[in-house]
Amino acid sequence: MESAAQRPLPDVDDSVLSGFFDGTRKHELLVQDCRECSAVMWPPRVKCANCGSFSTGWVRHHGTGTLFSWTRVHHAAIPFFALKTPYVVAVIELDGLPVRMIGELRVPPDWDLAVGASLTVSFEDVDNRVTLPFWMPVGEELAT
Amino acid sequence: MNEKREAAIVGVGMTEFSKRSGRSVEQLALEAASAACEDAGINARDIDGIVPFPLGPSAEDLIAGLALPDVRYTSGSHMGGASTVASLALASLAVREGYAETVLVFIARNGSSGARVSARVTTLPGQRYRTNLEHPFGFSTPAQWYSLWCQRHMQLYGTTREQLGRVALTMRENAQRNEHAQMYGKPLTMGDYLSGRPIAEPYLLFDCCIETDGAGAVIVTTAERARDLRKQPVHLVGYAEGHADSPDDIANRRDFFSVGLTKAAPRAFEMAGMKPRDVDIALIYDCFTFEVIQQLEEAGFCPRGEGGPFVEEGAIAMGGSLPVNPHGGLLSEGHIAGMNHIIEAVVQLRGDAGDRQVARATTAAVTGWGDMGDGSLALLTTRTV
Repeated sequence: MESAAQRPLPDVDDSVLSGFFDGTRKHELLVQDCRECSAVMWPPRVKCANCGSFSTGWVRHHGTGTLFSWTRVHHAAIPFFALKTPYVVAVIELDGLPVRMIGELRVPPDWDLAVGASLTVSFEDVDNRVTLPFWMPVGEELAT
Repeated sequence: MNEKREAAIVGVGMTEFSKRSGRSVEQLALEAASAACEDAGINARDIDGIVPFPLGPSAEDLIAGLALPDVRYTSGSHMGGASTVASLALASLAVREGYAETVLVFIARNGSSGARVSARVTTLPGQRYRTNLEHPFGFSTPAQWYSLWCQRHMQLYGTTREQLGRVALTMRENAQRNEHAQMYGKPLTMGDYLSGRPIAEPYLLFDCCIETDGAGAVIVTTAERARDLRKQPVHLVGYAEGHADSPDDIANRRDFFSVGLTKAAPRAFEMAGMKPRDVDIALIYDCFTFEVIQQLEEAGFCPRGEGGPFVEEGAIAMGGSLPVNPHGGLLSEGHIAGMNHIIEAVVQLRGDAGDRQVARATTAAVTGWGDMGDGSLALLTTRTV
């Protein structure tokens, strides 16, 4: 039987994260900000880590960043990913913001990974509710 | 001036370590607890306080299993693997306060044949982030999480694969002097290490600790009571826990390599009136090879970034300036969340370590590490105060 393993999907209605997934559905990368002190936070939280306000919102980022760290996974505990090894999980530091996101970095197998590499986001519609962001080296996205 | 009652470890006990114990975790816990009582020369019924590991049998399981007549203190730490060392503080505080006199600290798991690490990590903080922002991208295991530190450390400080290998080889070599170790009789060469299959790069197979079915327990009481007991008491003179900023997410820490231990270590050393150079043996929570390097740095045994060369020059080997894990650690003795590190510290300081005895060891530091970098540190000594 063809693999029944599915990618584990986020709960796009999660009370803290739904705004982020509303953004990805529109192919926008949103990060959480505080409506009182304007601090930007990641991951999104219930209250502002800077001033304590419960009044948070979302602000759009243009979707470029640099490679902060990564791992190339060969042994995956999640069945869907066991079929995709090796794959790269990256920490992407967004340009101009104190935000580092975890994401899947799509690179050719022989690509030489190095801290500071310029990356850009793209979006993949998984179904009519879930769109996920993926990352690629700047320049690679033109090749696809 | 109030005289502070000091706390001391007076008994230690472990089951064998294996891939398949063939017994329940409750039975393993009772065997370890009974062995610790026998080692201490006390009757189990004297136990009036229990601090269990957050996963596995509970305090009440042991009250029932040991038929304890009157336990008046139970508490627990919730920092993953760091909980065992942090629990020494919970036991010490109770006996020093006079709130309990004989406290059992224990762990029991069938970590190989039963709940392996992927089943154990569902109790972490920040499950929302794991489930919604990480699992969709295939990021879900401690090897994957912690490899992010290792990768960046290699990039920023030039830490090498051979230095990681030196940690693995040192642990494996130490295990060859420890019949209790799962890797006893299984030496490891650098060639073996380098050809190990990749798990989550930079981590290869031998960068990762083993899984174990087993249990361990210690008995904590007052130094005063300890004087009447069978073995040389080991005094708990410093202890602290620490939580990273923030405990539920590694990627966004401003000071990326700073972890719970970074905060705990100075507190523990200050409490003991000691410095890292006063430590004769270090028992470091070696869930992965790089975590030894990171903890040596964050606890202050060497500057940040210099852990690789520190290891490479042989400092952590038997005979080095700071022997680490003479028993082989989680990497080569077995993984019961560092309770075996506490026990090895006690055995070493008593002078009972036989072939793997570190000469003239009077002070040991034991680190705890858990979840996304929670940490703890305890300082044990036989130096008279």
